[in-house]
Amino acid sequence: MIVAPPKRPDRSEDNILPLINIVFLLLIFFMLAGSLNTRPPFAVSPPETANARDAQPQPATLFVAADGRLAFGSESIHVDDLPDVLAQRDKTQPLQVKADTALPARELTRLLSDLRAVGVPEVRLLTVHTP
Amino acid sequence: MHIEVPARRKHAIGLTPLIDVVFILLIFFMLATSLVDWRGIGLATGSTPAKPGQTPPAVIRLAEDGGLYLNGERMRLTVLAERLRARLSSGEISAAILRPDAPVTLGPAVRTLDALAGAGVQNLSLGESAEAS
Repeated sequence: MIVAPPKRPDRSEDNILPLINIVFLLLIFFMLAGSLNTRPPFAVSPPETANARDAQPQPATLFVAADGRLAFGSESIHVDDLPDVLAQRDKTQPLQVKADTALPARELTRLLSDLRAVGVPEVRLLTVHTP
Repeated sequence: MHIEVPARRKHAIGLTPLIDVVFILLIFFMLATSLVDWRGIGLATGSTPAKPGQTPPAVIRLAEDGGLYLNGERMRLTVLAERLRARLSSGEISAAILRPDAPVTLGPAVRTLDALAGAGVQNLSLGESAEAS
């Protein structure tokens, strides 16, 4: 009768230590390299530029969809709500606007004049860098 | 007879729950973060109408086919940028306003602004559509 030799205790914990190291490194990379942004309730694909300056997206961003819908942060708003919504923002920095590339430029200029009426002298239009 | 004495466990706390949590955190950060290289263009939200004594801005029309017009004259972007630069430095104009026609979307308008900025034109802004004014 052949008796199977007693198995060595499985030291699986030693074998997965390199894996855990890699996972920790990946975790730290994503925590440091990425930025957590607020997401608008609709899809926005921003226009592309090659010469614009660096910008750090803030949570208080005005989003404009391709059909002109607005959102501030992650909440949908209406043009009439702009004065109330923008009253709480940090006025030391220009308002960031993330508009869809398919939005008619005329809609944006109309929005800009609405913003001027609300007391926003300058906005920063966010774009994606293309080399 | 040799009896193998099981080695004492090195880890008092099991690693598996820790790994689970780290994996969940990793997946959260992978999905929630964005690695997009964001840039920003400053846009004035409007301009007060020029008073008689002030230097007026130059108005550039952007047609639907991508054509650029300065004072009704169609010109290439390099030529336009050169003229705007010369006029800005001589103080003939105070700024350059891009006025896209009604069907023009933001993509081509921003690309034109970007190209003009890359050609050294300063004080650029986006203005009311040509047909609206």
